[in-house]
Amino acid sequence: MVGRRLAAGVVTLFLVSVVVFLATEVLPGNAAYAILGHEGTPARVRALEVALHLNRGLLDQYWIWISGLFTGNLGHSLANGLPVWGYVEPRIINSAVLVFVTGVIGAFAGVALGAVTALRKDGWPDHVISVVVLAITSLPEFVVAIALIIVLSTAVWHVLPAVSLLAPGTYAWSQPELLVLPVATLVIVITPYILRMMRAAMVEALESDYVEMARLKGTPEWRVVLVHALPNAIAPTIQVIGLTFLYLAGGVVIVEYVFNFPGIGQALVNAVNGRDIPVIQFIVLALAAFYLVVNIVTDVIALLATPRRRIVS
Amino acid sequence: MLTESRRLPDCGPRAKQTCRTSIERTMPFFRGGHFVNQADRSSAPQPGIPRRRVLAGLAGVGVAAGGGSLLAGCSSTSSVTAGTSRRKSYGGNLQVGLTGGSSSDTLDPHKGVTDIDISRIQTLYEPLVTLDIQAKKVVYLLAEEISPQGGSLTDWVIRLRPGVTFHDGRPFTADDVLFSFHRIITLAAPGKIFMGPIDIGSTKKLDSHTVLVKLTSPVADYAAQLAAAPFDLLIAPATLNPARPNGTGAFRYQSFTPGQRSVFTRHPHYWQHGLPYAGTLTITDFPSTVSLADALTTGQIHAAGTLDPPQVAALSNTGSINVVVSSAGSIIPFTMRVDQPPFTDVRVRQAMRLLVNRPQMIDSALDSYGTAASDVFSPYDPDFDHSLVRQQDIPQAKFLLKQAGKEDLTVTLVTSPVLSGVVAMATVLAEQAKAAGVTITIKNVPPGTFFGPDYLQSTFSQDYYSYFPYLTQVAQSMLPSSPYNETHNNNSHYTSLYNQAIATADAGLRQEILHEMQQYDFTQGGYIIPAFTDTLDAYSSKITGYAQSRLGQPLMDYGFMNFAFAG
Repeated sequence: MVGRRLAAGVVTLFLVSVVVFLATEVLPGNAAYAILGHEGTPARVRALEVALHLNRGLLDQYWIWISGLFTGNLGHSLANGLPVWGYVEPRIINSAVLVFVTGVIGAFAGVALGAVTALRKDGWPDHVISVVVLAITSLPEFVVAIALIIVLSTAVWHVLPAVSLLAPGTYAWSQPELLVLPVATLVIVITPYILRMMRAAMVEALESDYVEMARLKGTPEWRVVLVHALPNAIAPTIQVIGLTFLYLAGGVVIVEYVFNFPGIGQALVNAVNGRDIPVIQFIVLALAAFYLVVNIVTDVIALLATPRRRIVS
Repeated sequence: MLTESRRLPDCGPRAKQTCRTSIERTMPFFRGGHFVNQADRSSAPQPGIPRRRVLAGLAGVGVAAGGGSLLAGCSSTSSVTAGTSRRKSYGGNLQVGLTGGSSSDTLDPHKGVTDIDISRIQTLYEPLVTLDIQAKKVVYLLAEEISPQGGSLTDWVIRLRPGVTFHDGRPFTADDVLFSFHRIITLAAPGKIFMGPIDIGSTKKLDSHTVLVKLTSPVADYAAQLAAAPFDLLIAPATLNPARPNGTGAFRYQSFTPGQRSVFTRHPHYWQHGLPYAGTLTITDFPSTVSLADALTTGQIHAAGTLDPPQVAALSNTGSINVVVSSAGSIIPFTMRVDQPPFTDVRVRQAMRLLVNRPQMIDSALDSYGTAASDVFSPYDPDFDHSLVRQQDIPQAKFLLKQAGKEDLTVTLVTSPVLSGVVAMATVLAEQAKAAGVTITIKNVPPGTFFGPDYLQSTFSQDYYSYFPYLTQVAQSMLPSSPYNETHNNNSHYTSLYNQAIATADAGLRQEILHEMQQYDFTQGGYIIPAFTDTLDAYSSKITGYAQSRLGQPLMDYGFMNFAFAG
């Protein structure tokens, strides 16, 4: 199954590269216009187009890029002439740290709170958490981010930096305090989805016949929850956690913008604004590859967590 | 934070008298078509800023007399500096934030595009001459003297300042000037237009510190010509390697990441003794003015340039921050193409100008951070004609439109959020136009599209400029040869007046010519200029040495060398 999916993934990536390349061509203007901006007189734009080889045909440009990719050469940024890998690599790592830390914290928080609310179904913790979660779900990321900045940085308390001014060449883990607010924002945004799925699955599991049987046998409650209910409730939640990771890969864009966090989202926004095709291509392909890998990994884990699906009929 | 604790009086030890004089001097400001003094200005209501904070801001500013930001030290030929009543300490890492950067940021001295590009290259490199931050006089930097040879206005001798060294220790000479001039012309860089009618082939070195500039037509004041756009005429070494910046500026290169951050350290052999104050300068790119203001509030940076009015209002209530509002001569004109209908008819152009309620536009679109203008640029030029005043006149606008057969005029205005206030001004204009029966359809496009193939070609659009002296602004946007002639103005009499003015040394005669040109702008031009916009900056109370600037460039025309941690 994994092999078949990987093969399909390679084809998908190729198609993505073609679509992205064509999409960037549809955008008005090109890198020369974007670089010169306000100073873009027709004469200067023409000269820069020649310098950047933008006057070549579409197929030529695509061929140069794709053939470079197969030889390990990702090309150079049109905006600044830096090698694409050197420019993007630290940003990918920073974003990966942000996504991983957020995903892990959000997954544990979502599963734990979901289990608690299911166990206290219709009790006050369930009601309070459900209302709060519903309220948070209706808020976009930037509202959560700005609220956290106001409360923890600028207006109420001054305990955390409002923006993540990470020095170039350093990585997010070297200054953990700069990660706190971006991670907190994303955790607040993703936890409700995981929590609600976990709660629903757990409620269903706790009301099932095998849990009732376990209780009738006199099995201790902690064992009923951890050994009988939780493993059965976790399978659908894993799918949601997988989807959450996929969402994070794109969702970091806004959070990176608000906190000035030097990650892949900010680089992609910059590249699109600058019509920097080699950088756009690479980042979009990296994101597409991430989607493919997470989908495959999620399916495998869900399969392992669901014994009856492992039986070949 | 401070790495050194050595303290000097403001402006350096050799300048006490000059600086005391400068502090005592009242700084004039231009407001509402006339100059008022600082006391008048600070007592004027500033919507959006509590009066208390404005006053506090000005107290922090102190008084800036004439010195250009590039020249704050006091040498024999320089005049004055920015000074404050607070003591300045040496050392420390001065953290500055600006917006507008991207992955195409550059340190190339002749390829800068955005504000943040200019802030960095103006830190590393210097021009021969510059304009003081009051936009009044020429300040000599790498040049000591620029004078006509034998009275000929086509031959100009530039005598260079001796004893100046580049960051790598190499001495600055005439070869570097010639190299830079040639490079600007070869690259067709923005500075080319500001060099005037230069004959680069005949321009030559006379000796190691003297250059003879040959012009193809006479220029009455070549020093003023070069000083009008110093950031586009920076001097690079003849051995320039853009990847390893090496200038004569107050700070030298340490590191640079496009779209993110650049770090510079003090030039230990800087020719302006006593400057700069900071040991390290860090300039950080911010994606928005919101995060920029947040970073200043939380002390992550010490100075924030080009803020938007909402952030200024919020920062004004923060005790540890001083907001500085500079009445600059910057403009955000609406541009009507005079060669395309309906604007080929001068009556339509005049009607469009008459329907604008300028005070209302300043209040609504610029949050009151501006001064009413009357469709003529360069308010601080000594030859600016203050008698040209235009106010809203709807009946006259309707009358002119009727005469032109355009009673139900409908036009499309191309706008874009390329600068704070641009789209808001378009929206307000569309509302105001309704009173005269004119329908303005707003086409709001992303900046990438705005600066695309249609840039400078739209029938009705907008643009923006920082302050330039009158003839310099004409050269870049009003002549058939101008690179930014977005109104497609092409009037042979106007062009001949320009050529005449630039060659006229007699001040009285020159003023007459300039007034005639401005009369043309006022009655026939393609610009609607509702306001001269303010520059909004903010500083941490930890630093001192900053001042207001009329040039429209943020942070005292990027006067980082003057900023110091308060002792």
